[in-house]
Amino acid sequence: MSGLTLAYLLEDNALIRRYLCDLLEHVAGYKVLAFECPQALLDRCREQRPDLMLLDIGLPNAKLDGQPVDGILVCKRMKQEFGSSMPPVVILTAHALAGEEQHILSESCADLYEAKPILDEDAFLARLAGLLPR
Amino acid sequence: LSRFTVFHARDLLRAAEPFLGPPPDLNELRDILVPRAPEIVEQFYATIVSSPDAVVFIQTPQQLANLHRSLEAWVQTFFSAPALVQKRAELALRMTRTHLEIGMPLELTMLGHLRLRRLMLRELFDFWPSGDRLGLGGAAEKLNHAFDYDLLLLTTCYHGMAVARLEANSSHLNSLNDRLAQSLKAQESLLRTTSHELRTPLAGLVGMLKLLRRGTYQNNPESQLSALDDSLAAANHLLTLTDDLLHLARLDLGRDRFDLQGFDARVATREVLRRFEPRAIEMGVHLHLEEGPPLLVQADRDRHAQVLSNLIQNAIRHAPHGLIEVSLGTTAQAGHILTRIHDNGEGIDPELLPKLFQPMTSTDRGGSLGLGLTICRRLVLAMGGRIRVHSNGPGQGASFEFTLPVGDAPCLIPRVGPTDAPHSILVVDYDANWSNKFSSWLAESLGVQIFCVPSGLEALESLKTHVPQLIMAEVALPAAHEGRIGDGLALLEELSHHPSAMLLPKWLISGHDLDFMQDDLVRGSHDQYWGKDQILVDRDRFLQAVQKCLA
Repeated sequence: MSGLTLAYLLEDNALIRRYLCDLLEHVAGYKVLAFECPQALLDRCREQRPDLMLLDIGLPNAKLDGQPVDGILVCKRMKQEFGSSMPPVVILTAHALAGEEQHILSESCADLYEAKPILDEDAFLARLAGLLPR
Repeated sequence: LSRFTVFHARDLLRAAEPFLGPPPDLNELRDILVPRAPEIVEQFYATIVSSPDAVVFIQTPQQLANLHRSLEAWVQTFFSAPALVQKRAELALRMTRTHLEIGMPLELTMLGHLRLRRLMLRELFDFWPSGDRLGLGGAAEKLNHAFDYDLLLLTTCYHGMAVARLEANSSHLNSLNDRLAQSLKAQESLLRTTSHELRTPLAGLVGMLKLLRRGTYQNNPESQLSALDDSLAAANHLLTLTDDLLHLARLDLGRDRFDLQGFDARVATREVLRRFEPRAIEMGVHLHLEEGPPLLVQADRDRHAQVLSNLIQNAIRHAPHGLIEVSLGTTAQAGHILTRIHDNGEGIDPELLPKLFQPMTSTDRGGSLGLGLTICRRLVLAMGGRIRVHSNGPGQGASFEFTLPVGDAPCLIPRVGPTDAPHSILVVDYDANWSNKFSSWLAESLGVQIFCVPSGLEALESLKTHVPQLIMAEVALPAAHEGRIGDGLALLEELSHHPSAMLLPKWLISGHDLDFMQDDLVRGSHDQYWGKDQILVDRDRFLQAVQKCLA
């Protein structure tokens, strides 16, 4: 792989956006583009696929094509469109409930499920690195 | 039968028909037993009175008379022709209803019925013609059949009515239950949203602190500063959120006391707007208050300011570089004052309009919690007003309107302080709220007597009977009659030629921003000028000045 790892982040809370951005950029050394709204993320993805995507599940005010969506729907929708060129996806949730993980992973076609707040950043970054092609 | 809440005899008969068979014919028994009725009723009384369970229900003469009447009616219908069966059904219904109303248990009715049957059978045996022993068996069977028939009617009534009552109760309980379930559901969703709204910024905050802790920004002081600023903003947001939640919970519990009093909504509105001027300038917003006559409302002053502040704050946030017009007026619905805050900003999505005053509806991206409007609505409702919003849609601006009841003017206390005080002061101010507090404070602090009047004319009137050592007049006084003495300045000007007041010290007091009349203040005939804010901030200095003046 040439150059920096490019990651896209979809997160509606400004502070968490900043936190994840800084974590990925300053600590992991990725290049991160952060999005607040799914439409902008989708448009950007059509132009250039990232190496990795992080999607927040809870997006109370988000809409895609006029329909309210959450991170799961956004992920499904992109998988449909991009098929085999879909980058690995990490789905993030603040409502971590036991037993939900498998359901959400199969529902969204995401590759990794992470609960916020992230307890151990280094372990989190290691899991992300595991998703990237070697 | 239970489907009917009001039973008719024909419903009862229809319901009981399959079990009842044909109505009994007691024609041949009537001549023997009806003459015995008084004796039977007498013995029945004796049984009831000796039964501790039954006697409870016939304690008053009225109850005894009722029992007597119903027994007579029962005997009459019991022996009536089979064709009159509907009468029996009616009587059974009436008895059942009475028994249910007085709370008599079914067992007692049945025991009474059994007792009557026995009494009646004994009379039949005793008085049946001795020559017709063979006929007695058939007669007794008929009597038994008639009693069975009657008992079945009664129990059917009882059962039907009891079920109907239960159903009426349970449908009431069901509707209560539905409402409770709805309210629980609302609470649950509020709790879920709330916990999300609290956890999200906290998660961000914890994350940022961990990044700072591990020295992520070590080589970049600018990033470090902005990371701290962002974290601080989130912490402040959480603080506001927690305050709002607690406030809402207090309002829900009805714990908040409202100090309702009459005050001028226009003055109060102007005060609130003044506080927002720096913020408006910063956001490039033009904040305009339509001028007009004083409008007295009855409300809690602090809560009024809170509602208005929240609406102005929202308007500034959603109409950057825009225009916010605040106007006050009376409503079509008499007895209310309407405050309208109109902005030409972002406007509101029509879908959001109906939900706007519900908790957690926010037009902000990034999910600010949006409890402000919910709190506003609660406060306005609690003060007897209404609040509503109007917007033609995105980009079309928005208008928030709230009403509050018209206030009763508080009474001005005309005289405060000891009557034998060595000094007295005349205070001319139409704002009774201020005047009452101000006068009591002055009187208490300096041991002087204060005379209070609301207008210039009344000040002149007061000077005829009492001449004080100091006069303090508010600049803004209601316009006087015949064009004389329009305000405090004019009053003091007139007093400077007044025979008994020309030599007295005259002070001008004002609650308003007087920048625009600086020239008048310089030229006026007053000796000192004090702003009300200044007095409140610098109480000691004011008291010293008064003391010096009186000495």
